Amino acid sequence: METLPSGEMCEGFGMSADKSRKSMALFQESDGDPRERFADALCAYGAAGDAACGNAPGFAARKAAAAVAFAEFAELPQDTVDALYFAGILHAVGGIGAVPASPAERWESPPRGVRICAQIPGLPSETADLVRWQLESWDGTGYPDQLRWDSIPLAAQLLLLAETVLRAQDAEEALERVNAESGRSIAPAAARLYADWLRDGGTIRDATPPVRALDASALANAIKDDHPMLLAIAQAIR
Amino acid sequence: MISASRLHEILEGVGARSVVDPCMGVPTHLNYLKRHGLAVHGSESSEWLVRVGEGIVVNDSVALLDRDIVDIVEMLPGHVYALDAFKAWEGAFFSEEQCLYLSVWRENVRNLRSDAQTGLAVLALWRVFCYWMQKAQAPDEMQDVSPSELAWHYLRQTTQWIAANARQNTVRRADALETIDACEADALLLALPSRTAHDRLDPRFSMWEAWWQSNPYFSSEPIDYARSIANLLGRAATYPAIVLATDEKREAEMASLLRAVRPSVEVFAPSANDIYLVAK
Repeated sequence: METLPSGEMCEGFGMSADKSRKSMALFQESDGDPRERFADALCAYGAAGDAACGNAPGFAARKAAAAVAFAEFAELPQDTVDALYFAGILHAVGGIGAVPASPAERWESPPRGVRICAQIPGLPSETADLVRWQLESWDGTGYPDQLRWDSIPLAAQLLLLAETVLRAQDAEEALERVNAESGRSIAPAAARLYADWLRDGGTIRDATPPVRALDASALANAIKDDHPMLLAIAQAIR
Repeated sequence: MISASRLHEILEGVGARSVVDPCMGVPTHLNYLKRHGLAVHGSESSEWLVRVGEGIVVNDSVALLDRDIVDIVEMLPGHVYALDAFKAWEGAFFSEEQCLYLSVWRENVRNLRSDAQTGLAVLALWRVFCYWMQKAQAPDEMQDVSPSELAWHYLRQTTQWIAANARQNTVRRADALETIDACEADALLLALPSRTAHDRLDPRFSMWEAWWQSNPYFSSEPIDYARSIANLLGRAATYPAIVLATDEKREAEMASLLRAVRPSVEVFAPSANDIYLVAK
């Protein structure tokens, strides 16, 4: 798998690797569970991805919260829900330092996001693939893999559902969009789930990062080893 | 299911710049690899899948323009159509209107000027066909879209996948052994039927071949790739690398077969349904 040099990641924040190294202290010196600071850092990193891709501020957090709300309604396993949260947060990091200018370049964002997520220490193992498949369409016309039908994991389908809902101006338009895309980009079962969720009074609330899902020992080792990915992420919480 | 982007990562890892997939299915993964610079070669026994390959694998630049789409979607003036070609499907799978469109589209696609356009059209109309089949299963959860609107949507969209990579890319209608012998590449990709939906006897694949053959009664037996996998591997000696895509259920069996021809097998198993055995 391609490894992104830390320099490339740091350039996304307009900083040098040396300068970012100092911010490692933020993880090393924090009191309590370093995963909490790290989760905040991931949220900031996700926000940087949104900014790079031209999304509205806070979009990643809303996408994560919406996907989690749908996943909990669908009664997905807790591990998957947690992985889905971080996939929502990190959905646009593939755009950092490589802002897509054409459709062909846009198709490269998910695989690039996967390469970044694969290097983030302690992330749930499912997260990277959810980032990979978040824009796959039920009818096989999505990207990057043009997966179709049940080949697309339900959790990834829920990320696309969240994206579709959040791109709408209001709840009425969101339902219209979801219905129009049912059988095309959105799985009919996911469209039905959304309608049921609405009927059940579903609302999207702010979601708290599921810190429990981050691997504490992997993070501790990464901090100890001066992991280059941490250098880039640390800068996001300056 | 094959994750083309993951496959690309694996092929990069073994230094492969060209690949042969002798049981390619719907070759969207080969399209991805082509767009990322690899020379790709595929084959299939179903003719419609080979046509799709001509549209999105071999084709470097031929698109479907709006005037071409009109010639596919609408009845051509002065042309005499056999409008009852798919009447056998009426009521069972499709409405009378849908069967008429299937007849018209079939003839119009046959009259397209190039293999590349034909392939693009077959892929786009396959998606219309799948939409209709899906809607028959979930009538209340999908909107009614007119056949011509749906066809326009997919025909226009399919053109976006066309790309050149300055390599020679090929597809052929042939059995897997013949393809393995005929092609040269850095890597051989074998995806078991569970990865291409053939072994599930998904009726959509054989029905679309029936559409292409203009014979609604056409049916095909799934090829038992798994039984012949040892033969395929035995003929792959000239390939520097072999990538065998499998699943958890068959991983042990497939790894054993692969180790019989290549001592070093690396297992890459991101999930139960997405396992790759890589041998050099």
